[in-house]
Amino acid sequence: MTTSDLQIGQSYAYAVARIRQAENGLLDRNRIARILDASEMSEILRILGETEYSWAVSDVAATDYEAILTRELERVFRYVSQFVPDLTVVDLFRMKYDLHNCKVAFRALALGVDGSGLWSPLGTVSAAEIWRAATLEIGLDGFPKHARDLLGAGLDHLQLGVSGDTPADDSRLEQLADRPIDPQALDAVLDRAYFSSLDEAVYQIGSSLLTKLLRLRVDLVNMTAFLRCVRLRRGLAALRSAFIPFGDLPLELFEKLYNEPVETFVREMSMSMYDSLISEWSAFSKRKDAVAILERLGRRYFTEMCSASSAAVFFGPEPIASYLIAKENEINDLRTILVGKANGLDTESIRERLSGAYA
Amino acid sequence: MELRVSPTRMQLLQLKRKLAMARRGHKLLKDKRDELMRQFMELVESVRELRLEVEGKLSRAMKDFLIARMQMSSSEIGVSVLYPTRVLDFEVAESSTMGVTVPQFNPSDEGDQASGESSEMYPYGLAMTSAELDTAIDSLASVMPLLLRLAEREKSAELLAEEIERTRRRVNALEYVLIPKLEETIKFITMKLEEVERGNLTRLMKVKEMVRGGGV
Amino acid sequence: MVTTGLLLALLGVAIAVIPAGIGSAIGVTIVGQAAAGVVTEDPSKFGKTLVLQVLPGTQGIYGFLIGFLIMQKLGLIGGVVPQVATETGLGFLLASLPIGVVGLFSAVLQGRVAAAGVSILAKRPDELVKGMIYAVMVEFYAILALLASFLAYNGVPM
Repeated sequence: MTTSDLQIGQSYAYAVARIRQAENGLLDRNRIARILDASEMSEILRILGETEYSWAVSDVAATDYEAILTRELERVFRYVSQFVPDLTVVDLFRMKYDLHNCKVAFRALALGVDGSGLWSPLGTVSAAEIWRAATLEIGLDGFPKHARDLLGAGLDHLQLGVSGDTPADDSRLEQLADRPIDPQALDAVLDRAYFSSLDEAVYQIGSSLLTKLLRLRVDLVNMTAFLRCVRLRRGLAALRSAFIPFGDLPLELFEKLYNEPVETFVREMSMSMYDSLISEWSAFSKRKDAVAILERLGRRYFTEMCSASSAAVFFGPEPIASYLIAKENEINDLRTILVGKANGLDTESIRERLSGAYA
Repeated sequence: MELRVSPTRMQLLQLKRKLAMARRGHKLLKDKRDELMRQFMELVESVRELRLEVEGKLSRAMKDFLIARMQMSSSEIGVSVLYPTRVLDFEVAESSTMGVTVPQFNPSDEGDQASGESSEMYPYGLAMTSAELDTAIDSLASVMPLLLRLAEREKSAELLAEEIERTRRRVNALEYVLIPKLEETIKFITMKLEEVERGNLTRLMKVKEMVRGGGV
Repeated sequence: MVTTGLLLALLGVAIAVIPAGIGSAIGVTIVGQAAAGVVTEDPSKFGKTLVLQVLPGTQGIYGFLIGFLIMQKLGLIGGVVPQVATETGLGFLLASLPIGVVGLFSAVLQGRVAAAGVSILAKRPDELVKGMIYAVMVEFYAILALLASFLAYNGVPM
């Protein structure tokens, strides 16, 4: 027990208690069942209005469920930021939207459009700033480290150079418009920069549990990316460029398995720490939608691991991260339900795609 | 028009030749019309089948897209497919069916893309997208060649229908206008000629009678 | 005339009171912060959080109790400067060690357990008793330390 230990314990005690109380506001099995049984959108909105989504559903057209979900996430980020001692924990979840905005920016740039309608308001940096940086209007110096890395990686990839020292150069941008880009490679570069920022942030927070969860997350991403590469015959080069290096499973393993049948993959993976996940999945491994099923099982596995491991933590960032993960999941599940409902999909098909504990 | 002709034998001969030709033309056009009809019916049948298939596949693709949409937000999907990588080149050739020029769309590099660089088709990275999106893109891509063929067939059917309409009008014109008129004119000339003949005969008889009477 | 014995005895008083007091203060703070977190979200839980917050405060009381007893036995309360043999002073110093040391650690640790109990209160208010039992378990060792200190104090002849 050191002083710094006490310090963390003190600052997080308040935050964790608030989070525990806030966890009561997560949608429970009952509410989800009611939403699933609802026959009309208006009914779903009414049910959501009774929950902590009430702010999100107010003043939004019933059909614009995407706006509702975005607003709810916005609210949650704002809410948690009020009391979390280390904002990096919230940034862990907002960086995803910086990544998204970077993808929009660079694609729009290459196409010569403005990307309107695709920007996300949830990032740590405003979309407008990212756009200005991507168009070389401003340098990267004013950005937080992770955004600088993201933008820098993208600009480098598009051979626009990391600006800041050079003044905005329109000719470079014009050249870009004439030259086809490879969006897959661009995404691979940006995704890697994103995960590297996550890795740094988790290291900075200094939580071994979050480090473990990030590794798990990366491994799951790599596994599905591997299977998708195999299924689409993208080739080893694509596998290598899509591989995210911050997991426990090494690239060599995937390279070795690339030309093997799926049974070998199952066998090899069940010797790793993911044996329970893989053995559950192996029954589906021959199906056409096998990868999607692994994605779904992986999401569920991740959530379980996360809530199980952070339940015993009372002084630290883990419960807060865990809450945000749960909230993110809940919002994704709501999206699944709302989109499915709006398009007349039957309840069973919707239910099997949910990843929360109520599924 | 038929009445303005001079009722001469020469003219009659000419008209008769014209009529024979019109009749032959009429028969040929009728045959052509029937054949066009037959081909049109066949084409329509195949278009109908293709259309059903395309519609089935399109609704499958829509459903796949919906499922992908259930896993990803609309802006995530939006940015994933914002930058198109796949350019579908096709050549427009012409072929002729019964004298009708119909278009033919030949996708130029479908084959090599499928073998080597099929991943070009997915314009997004793997880490942040769902595998369901791959499926949706696959479904849509598999409809594309069919859509192309459907467009080709439907245009052909349209052109054939126009040609049939034109041929039918010609057949009708021959059958109900030209041939009857020719026949009438011929009849008129024949009658006129016969009348002249009869007049001549009468005159001859009269002259004969006068010659016989005068001789008494 | 202040003897070494008296100084040692006073050091014993300080050792009994200060660490246990600090420990309790930290413990109560931790629980208080957690309790504030819960009450921010749901003010109706204020009463229940108080019960948990009080628990780590007891060590400070125990420490003060031992310190007070020593001072009383020395006769300091009366205002006369007592004559204390060096051995007696050392005896008091040693007697105060258990509650001083155990009090410090058990109060901080109990504070953490009680703060965890506040989490139980946040999630399942009906299970509050269980959270309290966990915190009380830590109390047990503080009481043992108090007992040890008290017995030792009794054994020191004046």
